[in-house]
Parts: sequence; structure tokens; C-alpha cells
Amino acid sequence: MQTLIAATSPTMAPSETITAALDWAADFDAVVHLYWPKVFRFALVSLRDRTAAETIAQDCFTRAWQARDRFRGDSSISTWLMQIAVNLIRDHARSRKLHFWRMLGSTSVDVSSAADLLADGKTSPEMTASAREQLAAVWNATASLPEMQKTVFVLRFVEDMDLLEIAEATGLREGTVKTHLFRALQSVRKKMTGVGK
Amino acid sequence: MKRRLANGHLSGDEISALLAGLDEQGSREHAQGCEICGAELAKLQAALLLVRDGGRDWAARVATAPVWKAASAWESAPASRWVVFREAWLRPRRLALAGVLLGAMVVVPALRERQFRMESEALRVESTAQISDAALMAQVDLQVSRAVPEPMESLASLLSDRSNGTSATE
Repeated sequence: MQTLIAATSPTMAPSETITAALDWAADFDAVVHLYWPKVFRFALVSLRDRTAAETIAQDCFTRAWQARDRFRGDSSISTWLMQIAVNLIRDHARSRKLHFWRMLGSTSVDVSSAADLLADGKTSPEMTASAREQLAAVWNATASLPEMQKTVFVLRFVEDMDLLEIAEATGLREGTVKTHLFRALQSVRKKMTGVGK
Repeated sequence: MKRRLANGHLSGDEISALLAGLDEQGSREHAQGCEICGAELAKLQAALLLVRDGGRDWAARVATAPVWKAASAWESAPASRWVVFREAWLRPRRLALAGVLLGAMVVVPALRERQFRMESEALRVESTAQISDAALMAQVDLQVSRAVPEPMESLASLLSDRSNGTSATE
């Protein structure tokens, strides 16, 4: 039997290596290890809340395990997991709107923390400051995007997923994905206007 | 429709559309041949790369190890009792619950209305009975207060007249 561990080669992209013929009981631990960082990162960048991102990642894999019998291999495991994560993040965002006060005690990281990540020794101080401004502008712009635009934006530009994968993960048509992406980019570009000049 | 600028360069919307995969008017070819538009496109792409790298660095820095469980444990130990209850019982029955709630929203006011009407009717009957009781008591009082019963009043008055006449002739 072709197990996930045997099928997953470090030289190949996960989406190319995972087949439908999985021995779930034996391979699920490997699935968790392989995809946890991706799901966690997507949740973290989408929600900007580490605790919530951990919860989302945990719930995502729990649901995946519970629904493993329904996975037919039509899409890659990666896309399937992202589909679950998209739904969880959407539900979380909705409940957060209703219970915004819960955020008071959370471990949210603000915009400046993300901009600090840019600190590297390769660029001149001026370039670094400019880059920080650009990052902060884009980061701020994405924070205020409508939920689906933000999801599509993060999947495309942080997770590097192609349009078809995003369509599968979000349940949208490819054209709708492009439209959301276009609107998100419009907002981002407007925020960037004037920065760095 | 994303209109090109009057000077022939790509508009901001065209650049956004290009990155979104909506290349309608050969924007990509134009950007490849035009230094100004190419630079504008590169600037936006660079900012997006910064976000990608920044997000990935951030996630790598704050990431914790997966909440690790052996495969068999995933089946028996979901996140919480609430999750178990929600997934196993509540979610499959949510339509039925919604129906029950909707039914309750219709039935409860109707029952209350019916109860109110019954109470009003009982109150009305009671007050009518009280009025008739009062009228009867007034009649009884009237009868009791008479010197002679009402059917004998004419006889009594006749006797009274006669006795008055006799005494007058004497």
C-alpha cells in the first residue's frame, strides 16, 4: 500500500505527491506534521491572532480526521485542508464580529510587529525604512479588506496558491476569485499611493 | 473595463487587473515593453513579496509545534466536549432545532393569546354574576323592609282606609 510517508518526497511539492490511496490511520500524523505550518500560517496572517490561529489549525486537523472518509482525492490534501481552514476562519471571523470584546485578552500582534520582520542587513537603512513603509501600507490595507477578499489575497500572495487552487479552497468560481483579487489589489494599491515618494 | 491613461501608460486598475489574472487588453505585453509601467508593476510585486516574506517569517517565529497526537487519538479526543456535542448532535439536527424554535415562536404567542381570552371571558362572567347578585340583594332588601309582603299591600291599605273611615263617622 502506498502510504503518505512513502509518497511524500522532499523534492516534490506536497500537492503532487499526495494520492487518494492513503492509509489514514498510519499517515495522519505525517499529514499533520507536513501541513500544520501551512494551515497555521494561513490562519495567523488572516486573523493576526496567534491563539486563534493555533485553535483554527487544531480544529482543522480534527475535522479533517473526522471527515477522512469523505476525502476522495479529487483535490490535493493541501487544498482540502485549506478548504476546511477557510471555512473555520470565516466562522471565526463572524463570531469575532459578534464578540469583539473577546479580543481584549488575546495575543494579537499588531502591524508594527510584522514590519519588524523586515529587519535584515542586506539593504541600506533608507531602503529598509521604505520597505517597512510599503509592508505596513499593504498590511494595513489587507486588514480592512472584506473577509473573502482578504482570504483570496492571503491564499494568492502569502500561500502562493494558483487561481484554480484558490477557487477549490474557497468554493468560488475562478472568475470570482479574480474579481476578489482585483478589488483587494485596488485597495492595496490605493493605500500604497504616496508611500515611499 | 479598466481604461488606459491618456498618456498610453497602464492605469492603476490595469496593473491590479494584471496581477489578479484579468489581463484584458494586452497589459502584460505593454508592461514588458514599457519601462515606466514595468517599474510600477515591479513596485507592487515587490510590496506583495514583502508581505509574503513578512507573513512567513512571522509565522515561523511564533509557530508552535503541532498539537501532536497519535493518529488513534484524533478520533477519540476532539478539541472539547462542546465540539463533540456540536459536531455529533447539534450540527446534524440544526434544521430540526430551527424548526422547533420557529414553531415555538408561532405557537407560544398563540397560546398566550388564547389564555388571555379565556381569562377575560371568565372575568366578564364573574362580573356579570356579581351584578345580578347585587340586584337580587337589592330586591330582597326592598321586600324585607316592607311592613307587609307586596301581594298583601292592597289589602292592608284597604283595611287602613276602612279603619280611618270608621273613626271619622264616630
